[in-house]
Amino acid sequence: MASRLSDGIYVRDTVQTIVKLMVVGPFGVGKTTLIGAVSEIEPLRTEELMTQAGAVVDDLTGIPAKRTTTVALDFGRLTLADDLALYLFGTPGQQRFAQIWKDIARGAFGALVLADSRFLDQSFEALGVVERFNLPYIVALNTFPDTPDYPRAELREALDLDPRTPLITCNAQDRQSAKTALVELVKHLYIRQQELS
Amino acid sequence: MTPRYRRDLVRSFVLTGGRAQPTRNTGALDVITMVTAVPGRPFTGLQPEHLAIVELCRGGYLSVAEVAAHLGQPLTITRILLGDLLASGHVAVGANASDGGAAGAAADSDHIRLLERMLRGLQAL
Repeated sequence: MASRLSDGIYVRDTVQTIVKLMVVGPFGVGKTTLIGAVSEIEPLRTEELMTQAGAVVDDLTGIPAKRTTTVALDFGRLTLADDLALYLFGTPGQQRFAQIWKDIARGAFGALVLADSRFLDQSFEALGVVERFNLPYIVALNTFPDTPDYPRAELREALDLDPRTPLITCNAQDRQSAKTALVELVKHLYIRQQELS
Repeated sequence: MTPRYRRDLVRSFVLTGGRAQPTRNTGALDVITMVTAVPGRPFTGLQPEHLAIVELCRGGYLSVAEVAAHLGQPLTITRILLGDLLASGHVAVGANASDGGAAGAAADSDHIRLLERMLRGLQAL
């Protein structure tokens, strides 16, 4: 397996500081697309084993024995300076994966919550998980060709956003737009941190 | 991120002696902790899965998550295997994850400086 890999996969050896941000949202909202738009490596997929939480799921499907299931996570990497690398981890932020979320999101600086304004309710669970783990976040509405132009105030209200939480729109396929969404997130984290200090 | 069953994981569990949780040396292994192979170590006694990690990590630094992804092993299994290799000296840990959750701690100014650097880096992309 390793013999097929070129040298291009490795992290620059001058990197001293590594940080991570989460990209959270329901299936199909564009997490991996957004990560792929900005990542310097092809988005990678890794898996985590789920046993305890999976048992509940298994009960629902009528399978009596507890079995180990896996949950896939997509991630990408951006080298932001000679000595600084940023990882972006995409996860749906579902309650039943809370254990895995806790492990992956530990130490993350913040989260970009992706939502689709046509199906806002699908992002409620992701918002809940991010809030439960006290991760600062902004919400980015991924625009699709048939996305209607809802009034911003209505969207904020529907998402029950804190007045200080930014709500932006983005096109997850577009590198510049995806980059801007991350800039807005880090700006928010920066301002928030300054207020806390 | 659809949960699914994988029969091929049986081998991984056998390999890790049924350990579902890392038992040693892996407490500090965040998904983005950097690891690399230590040159010049003998390969005797290494399982093929251990060897695959050493081969992969020979080329430079990779995060734990990248090792898992390239080898097609779940994170948990990868951490256990890396723990074995750390203990045997085949793999060394490089830079560790900066903790974004440390906000409000004594290192506030460091935290703000790091966010500033992240911002500048993203804007310059």
